[in-house]
Amino acid sequence: MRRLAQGEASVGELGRPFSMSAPAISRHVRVLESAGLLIRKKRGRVHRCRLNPRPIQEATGWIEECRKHWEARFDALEKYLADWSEEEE
Amino acid sequence: MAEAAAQTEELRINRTFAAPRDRVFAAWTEPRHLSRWFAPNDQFELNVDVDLRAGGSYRIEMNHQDGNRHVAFGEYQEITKPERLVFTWSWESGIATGTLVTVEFIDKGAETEVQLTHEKLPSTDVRGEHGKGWNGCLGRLETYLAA
Repeated sequence: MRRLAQGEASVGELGRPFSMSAPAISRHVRVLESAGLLIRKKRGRVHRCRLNPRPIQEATGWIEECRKHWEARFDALEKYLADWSEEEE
Repeated sequence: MAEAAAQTEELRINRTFAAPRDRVFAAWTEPRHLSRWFAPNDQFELNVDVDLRAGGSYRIEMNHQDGNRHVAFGEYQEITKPERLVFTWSWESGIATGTLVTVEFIDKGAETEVQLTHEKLPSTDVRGEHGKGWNGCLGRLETYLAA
């Protein structure tokens, strides 16, 4: 994933840093592809791969929305607790 | 590969509140308090039901003044008063189901630190399978949260 973040690569290039067999590399690439994280194009016998940024952006977006959700609730709790202690004075 | 999926599954938030721990714990567990601070904003009115025991369930109905209603519900997995709450969190609309929230309350004298962990959020693998369905969900979530 990190190598793909730098740009397109062939399946062979992707596997080079790892001491994995060619079929094992292909298997990994297929898994990433079916998860929607990687897009593969064939040029003759060479398969070029690039990152599909959308799922990661979407996942990150989803987590960030969730975080904003909770932060807003924490803001409300802060106010609520402040009002509560004021009522007692 | 595994790293990318794991990173998207959990979030953590900490904040310190100027109130003693018993009070903060009560705010999180009693309907009369929850109904007054748990809304996303002032335009919502809440109905809250809580059965506060391990295995007990809660239901939070958020009624927007425009007429929209959003319901969150779940089950308490652990209640250790006044230190910790663990509960599942699901939206009735199905946007997220079976996520897990852990809230820890740390005594700091006149103050309380709250540490919230929200996990089992949908991972990239799950989304890969649902494809278009998921995009629709995210669109609805955006609209929902903007309400």
